[in-house]
Amino acid sequence: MALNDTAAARRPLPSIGNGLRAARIAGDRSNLAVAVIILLFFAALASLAISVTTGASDASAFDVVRDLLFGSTGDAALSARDRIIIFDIRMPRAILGFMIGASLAVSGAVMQGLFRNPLADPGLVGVSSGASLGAVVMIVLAGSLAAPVHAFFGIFALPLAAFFGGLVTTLLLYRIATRGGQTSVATMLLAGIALGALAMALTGILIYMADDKQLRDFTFWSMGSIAGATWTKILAVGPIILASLFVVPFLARGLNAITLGEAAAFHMGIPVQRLKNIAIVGVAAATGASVAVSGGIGFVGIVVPHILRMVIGPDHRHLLPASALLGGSLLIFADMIARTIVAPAELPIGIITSVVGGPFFLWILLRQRSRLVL
Amino acid sequence: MIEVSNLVIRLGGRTVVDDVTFTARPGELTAIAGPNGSGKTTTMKAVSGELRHGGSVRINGHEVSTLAPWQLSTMRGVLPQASVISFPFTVHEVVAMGLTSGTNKRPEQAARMAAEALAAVDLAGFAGRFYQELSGGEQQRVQLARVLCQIPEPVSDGAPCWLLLDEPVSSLDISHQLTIMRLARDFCRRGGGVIAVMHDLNLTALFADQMILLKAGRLASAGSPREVMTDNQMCDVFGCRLRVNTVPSDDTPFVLAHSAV
Repeated sequence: MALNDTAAARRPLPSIGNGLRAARIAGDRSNLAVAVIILLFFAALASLAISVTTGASDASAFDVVRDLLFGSTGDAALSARDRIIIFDIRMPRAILGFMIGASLAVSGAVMQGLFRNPLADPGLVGVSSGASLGAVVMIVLAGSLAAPVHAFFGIFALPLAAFFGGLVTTLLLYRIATRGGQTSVATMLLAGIALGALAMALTGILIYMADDKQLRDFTFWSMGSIAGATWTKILAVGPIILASLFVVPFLARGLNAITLGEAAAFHMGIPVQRLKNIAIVGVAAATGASVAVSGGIGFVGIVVPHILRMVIGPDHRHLLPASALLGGSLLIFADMIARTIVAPAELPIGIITSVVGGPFFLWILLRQRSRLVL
Repeated sequence: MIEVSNLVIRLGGRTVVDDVTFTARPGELTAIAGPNGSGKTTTMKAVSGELRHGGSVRINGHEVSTLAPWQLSTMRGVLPQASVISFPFTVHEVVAMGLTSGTNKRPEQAARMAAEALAAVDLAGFAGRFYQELSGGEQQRVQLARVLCQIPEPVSDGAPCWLLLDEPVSSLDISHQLTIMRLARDFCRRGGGVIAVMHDLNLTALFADQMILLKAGRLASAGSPREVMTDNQMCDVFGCRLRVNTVPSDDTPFVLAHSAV
């Protein structure tokens, strides 16, 4: 890979680690990393709490908790409304936001490790383009070709279509790149561009056929939002995301080894092909599930692991859990901005992450420009 | 013992290694030499278990293709030609990756082993530096330290361990070339075995117990450097009229490029 993450290497270690590293071996950042993970854990709890207590409505989480503990003191109808806002709107939204942010960030970190490129992203394995295609098929053809599916699954038809679109594209790509039991990461990268273009073209044809309402639906889906979060949705995608997040820590050692090259990882005793199988399917499932319920939320997968690598280093044993915590917290904050900045209306969250992530990504590129050898 | 017999490797429809047979014994440094493209690295990849091949490669009596990656990783360590890392790992973190591939060790023990490995390749004090900031030769030595962490003892459970080194001294200065070759020889003296792809014929003559000379994927000659390095053999394999001389003290052969100019 020509894009090397050397810029981050030139930075001195951040000062918060100095005290912690004092008694340790030079070059060993694991103590710092553990401290950062603990910090991020509390940050995640805090962001969940803040998210539940703030919003466009004046519903107070404290009042709701107090009412639950000591019985209602005020207007019964008002407290019932507040309870619904807190428990059925804000809370599932915060939890879903956290899970999606975590899965996008972890998927990004895994892909970057696997492709040995700090600029890789789950989009590279066709999840995003496939999911878009699935979504637009369901939106545009819900009244005609896809009517039976839509009738059967109802409001779940769209996320399901997006999920399978993403998963099918990834598996297809994976098959193309695998010959004789060996997956070529380079082939996968290039074929991903080709398949992405193809999916875009099909999406374009469907958009061409779409009417105004369908266009609007698709546009908003593609900008991403977690506004529709419900406990039902959490039950639908939660298990997929949690299962992927649970498997990923077992890949950490292998991903570390693979940064030295696939051959070197094999020399060090890593079953490289099995690692690639698990990582790619896991990422496709986690990203597919996230994209399905939230639409296109960009940059979390690139920005979060990149920031963390600058602070705690690229060791995946720490990078993966830290990415989950930071990704989740950031998405909750982005969602808070999305739903309060133009209250009572809402901005799509994808706009927030892109407005912040785009310039950040450019800044990374500019810092690395001197090192880019293309 | 590493026994390579009738090794055939085809890559992209071309036979790159054709019917190569040799045996590397523990306690000996086996050097593979030959011109560019003669199949040295490819042979090494078959020995390390990376490449599918015809014929047989046995390490300590086990067919390499039947062993799981983790089993192989306890028997042999491999130093690749060059390693680019796209992430900002510190030297300590790279070296410690070698540790995690074996059995689990206590943190203090792991730290000590990493420090010892770095000292062995003359990089003591480099643990906190970033790998990407090092020169090519330093990076090569960091990789060797990582391999030494993976294979810390020349003999494990009564069986010899192996170091497979692909051009271990290619980007080193002369002093570190000697450091690394001495380290390899020492590993052999303590009961382990080393197979190294070598371009430097003089270092090969100085340190190798056995020399395997390849030409266009075939075995041209095998034996001690004294037997293999002859005027005719050099002319035949490398295609230039080199004159082999010997050091007066112990008749170790040497070759100077001067003789062919």
